[in-house]
Amino acid sequence: MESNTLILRGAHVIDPKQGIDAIADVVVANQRIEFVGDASHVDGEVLDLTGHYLSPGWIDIHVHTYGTLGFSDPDAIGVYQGVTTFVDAGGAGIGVLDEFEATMDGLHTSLYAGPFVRPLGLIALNFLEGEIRSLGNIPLSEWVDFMKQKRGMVRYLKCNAMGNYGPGSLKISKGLAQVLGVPLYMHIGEFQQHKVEETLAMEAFRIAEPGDMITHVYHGNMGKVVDDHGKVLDLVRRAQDRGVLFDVGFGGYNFAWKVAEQAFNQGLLPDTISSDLQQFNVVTPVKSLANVMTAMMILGMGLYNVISRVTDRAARAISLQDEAGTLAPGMPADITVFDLVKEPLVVTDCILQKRTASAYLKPLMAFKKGLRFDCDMERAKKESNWLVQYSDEKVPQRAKWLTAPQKQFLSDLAEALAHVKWSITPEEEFDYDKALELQRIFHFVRKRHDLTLKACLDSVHFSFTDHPFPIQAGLFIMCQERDFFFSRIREIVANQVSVEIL
Amino acid sequence: MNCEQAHSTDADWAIASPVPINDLKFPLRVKVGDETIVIHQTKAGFRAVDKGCPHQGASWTQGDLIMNESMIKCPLHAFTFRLSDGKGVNCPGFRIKVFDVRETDGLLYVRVPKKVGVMEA
Repeated sequence: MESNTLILRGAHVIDPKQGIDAIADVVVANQRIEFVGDASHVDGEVLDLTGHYLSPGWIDIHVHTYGTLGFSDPDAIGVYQGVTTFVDAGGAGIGVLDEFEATMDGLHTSLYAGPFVRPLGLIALNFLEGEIRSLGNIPLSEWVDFMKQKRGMVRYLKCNAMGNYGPGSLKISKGLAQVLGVPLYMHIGEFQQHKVEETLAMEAFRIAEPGDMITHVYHGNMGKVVDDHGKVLDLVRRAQDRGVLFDVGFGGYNFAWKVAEQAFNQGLLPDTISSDLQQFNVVTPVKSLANVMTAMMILGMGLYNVISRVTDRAARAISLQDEAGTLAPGMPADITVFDLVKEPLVVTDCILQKRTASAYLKPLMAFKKGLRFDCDMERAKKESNWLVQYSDEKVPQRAKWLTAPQKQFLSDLAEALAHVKWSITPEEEFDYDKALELQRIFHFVRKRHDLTLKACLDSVHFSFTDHPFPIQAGLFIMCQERDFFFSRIREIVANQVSVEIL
Repeated sequence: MNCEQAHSTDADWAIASPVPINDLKFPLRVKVGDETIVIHQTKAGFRAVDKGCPHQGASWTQGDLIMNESMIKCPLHAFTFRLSDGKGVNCPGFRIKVFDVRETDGLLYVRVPKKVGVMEA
């Protein structure tokens, strides 16, 4: 055996894909799993994990790392919480997948995209996402071209089954998913503050085909999976029976104990467990995928079945079985080590209802391709990770790193934007066309410069935030008060090039 | 929302509570004139905000003071506002009302607009 062999000794190994649920050793070499079993005859570095649990690296199929919901430090909800693979659920759309790729490079956690059907990705910021009126709103050739080049990046197509838009928008999304050859991943449940007369949630259950996924299945808003008497709807049951996958997607709006208990009591269990972690729910109530897994245990799901829903079942749902979800020989050494702490823990849902677990899951360490990361459950809660602060009182320190060509880009960008008006107010409908226009101008100017996309994005981001929040360029600009935007750019480029802005 | 911090020219100091400060618990929800406000005790002194988050109305009595107690975070969805001027930090376009608070002879006073609800930005 080679000297880089690592023996993880004596943990209680749970690998549902292989039917393993026993004390065993796990041998890792060359970043891959050698075998699970008795390693007493193997030479190598030994890590004694007696008394702990070990499973394939956890997969969270629904997080937000990018865009207006994303994090400054996405690994904080990844390897540092025991999650070795995650999927960004809708942060990017076809119009910004290049930005997604440019800015999300270099994470320790494996990141995949579940792009949103609209071109900018999710807008969030308390705005409804709007409808897809026709195929004319879908840049089909761009989608097809992208999938030809980067198919491995995309795990599903996300859309929202919400709002007063009628079923057409969902059917168009379904059609696009079919063209692209990926599952459709549908959000159900109206946000509480949005008044709608009729929910699209039921239409989601109607159009979903085997392999398509419905998330937020235990939400407590309009469009629940149970009727007014708490009975699981026949439509919902039939969808799961025919192979539609149900995902937890806990989130900040999307999980209610009452609904979950009613559903579990009638056997409506999730196929996958995901967190929907984002900057607006990481401190509370979601906290971590481990917290959501503990919630499932409160509902009566056993540990083995919980692990299955973040390993082999999660991998199958996003067609990642060849890369993740099991400790089978030859697989990448993605591993989560955790404890089942026999102490009570209160888990709060999205409407502040509480339940108490008799024991809870606590990730200890993750191995990503054999590289060890010790978990730090506080890391994600740091304000610098989730609180987007536009530094309007002083120029961010990062702006000092901008090069002369980047400042020239900023100057030209400001000049190109000089005659465009914009504002963002929560009382008004979001001006999607304006965000698209700002996006187009950003890229129009970018293409006139000999700079990478990342360098151009950094130019804008470094000018306004101290921490890296990779938000879509057009949306990022739109989030700045217009006068302030120009004054800041003017301040940054003042010593570099002579420009006249406004 | 057009409301901002009240200015001295259009605001008066009003007593927040006849109870001495030492006998009060914070955060404190009180009504001053037409305005229901919540007074927080921060490292930098007392500061008052309007009654609830503009997102979904969660009471600011449940708000968390963050960033060295210079901001208040909603307990529901982490919408965060600066206590200095009420500006939304991570929620562009959103604002809350904020009010100066002072301590005089052991009692708390809040500077509120003379005519609440018609302030202009």
